[in-house]
Amino acid sequence: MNWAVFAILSWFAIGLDVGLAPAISPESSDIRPSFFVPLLVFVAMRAPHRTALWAGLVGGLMLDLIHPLARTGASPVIITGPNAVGMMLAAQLVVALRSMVMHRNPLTTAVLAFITVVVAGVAAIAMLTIRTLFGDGIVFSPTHELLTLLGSALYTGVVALVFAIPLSWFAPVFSFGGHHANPGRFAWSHADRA
Amino acid sequence: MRAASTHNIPRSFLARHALAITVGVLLITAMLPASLLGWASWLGSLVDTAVTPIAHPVRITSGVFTPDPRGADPEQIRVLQNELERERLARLQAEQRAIRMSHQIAQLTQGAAVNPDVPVVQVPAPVVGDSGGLLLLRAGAAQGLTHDAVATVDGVQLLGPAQRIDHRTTRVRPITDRGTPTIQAAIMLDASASAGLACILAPTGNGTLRGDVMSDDDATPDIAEGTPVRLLDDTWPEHAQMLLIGTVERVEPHADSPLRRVVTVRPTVPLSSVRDAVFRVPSRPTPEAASP
Repeated sequence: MNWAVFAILSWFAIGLDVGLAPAISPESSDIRPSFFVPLLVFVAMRAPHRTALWAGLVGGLMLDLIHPLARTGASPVIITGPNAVGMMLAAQLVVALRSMVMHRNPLTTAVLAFITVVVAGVAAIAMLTIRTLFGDGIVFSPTHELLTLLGSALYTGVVALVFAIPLSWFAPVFSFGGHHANPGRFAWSHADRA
Repeated sequence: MRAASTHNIPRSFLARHALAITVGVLLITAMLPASLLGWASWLGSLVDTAVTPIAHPVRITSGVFTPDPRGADPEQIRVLQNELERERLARLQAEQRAIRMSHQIAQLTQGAAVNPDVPVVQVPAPVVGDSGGLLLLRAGAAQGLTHDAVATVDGVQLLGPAQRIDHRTTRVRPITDRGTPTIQAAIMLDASASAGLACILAPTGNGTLRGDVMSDDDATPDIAEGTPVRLLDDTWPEHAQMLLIGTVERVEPHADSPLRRVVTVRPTVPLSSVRDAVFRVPSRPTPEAASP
């Protein structure tokens, strides 16, 4: 995979996560769509296994770094790990499922994006919940986070539906090459069937 | 040949296990105490700076398609309203200062220390984005922000304290965010700073603050909807006192003691979606200024 292309698109997607997602989220709620997740799903559906996991890990780490967690009576803290490990697990799930899905159907990207947000979010919430047992003063409510997560996952699914086709235009520059994943039994194009 | 093969062993080991090692390291850092994660803040500030060229233009562009949170008032009316509110703030702060000075005079006679008045510098800062409930603003230590900087909307509506100041960016936690600790405030029953009714407000999570009215008794006049509520909290910097928190949206009897009242206060603009902010910074750092 061409990591430079992934880096540029990730930079753009995370920029949208910071700048655009709050502007299009429902007022007075923490529900936010993710623009990085559709990119990760796109990569995980096509890249070699380990490359997909690294993409999830690196992208998740970037998300950790832009999401400081508020603490009571202290400055916010950046915790590296929860999103990184969560996104890697989600990428692993997409890799496991990719041989069973229709690659060129935008709905596939949307459904996988929904699943990715849920899996990555649950993993991150679990890690942060364990962490709060040590009494770190982090303002964190697992129930609230889980409810928000479901809303964000649905919203991300919608965003992925919109971005699925534009993302497919970038497939040639990613140079997935000989490691291209098995297109699966539901592949549509003649090339794939051949 | 043997040397070459022994040289290749660690390299192949790393190549095969790099992912597992990285995951192990991240699992450890995820459980490290906050005091050991200072380096992550430095990395975070680099990422914040890197995404700003994307996030800020996108935020501006999205503003064209979404309604202005400050309402649909014509620009000129809004400018006049802000001017009026600034004058009101200046007068209330002067009155509050006079009240405090009278207390200080009393303290002086007992030998207590005196806090000098602090001149304020205003630093405009566009809101670049929002992540983790904290607003990311494009102004930082390079623009002269210090730890006791307080962000406002138009210089009058309290937005929140500066939480993390990097070189070019600053994170601000809006006062309506769940993580904000309780705020002591004064419900301004009339135009005088001494006529404020004390209350303690906590964020509700839906863009408002709610809390008990203190010293509430039969002699206390009614609190009308729309009454302004201002900051009056010693844990905040002196220059932030009397900034507008919002207006009373609802007054209800307390669930446990019906004779007491609970007020719901809504800021004049939705704080999580503001586009521009103004930092108020003391022009010289004061050692006694406590960050909230």
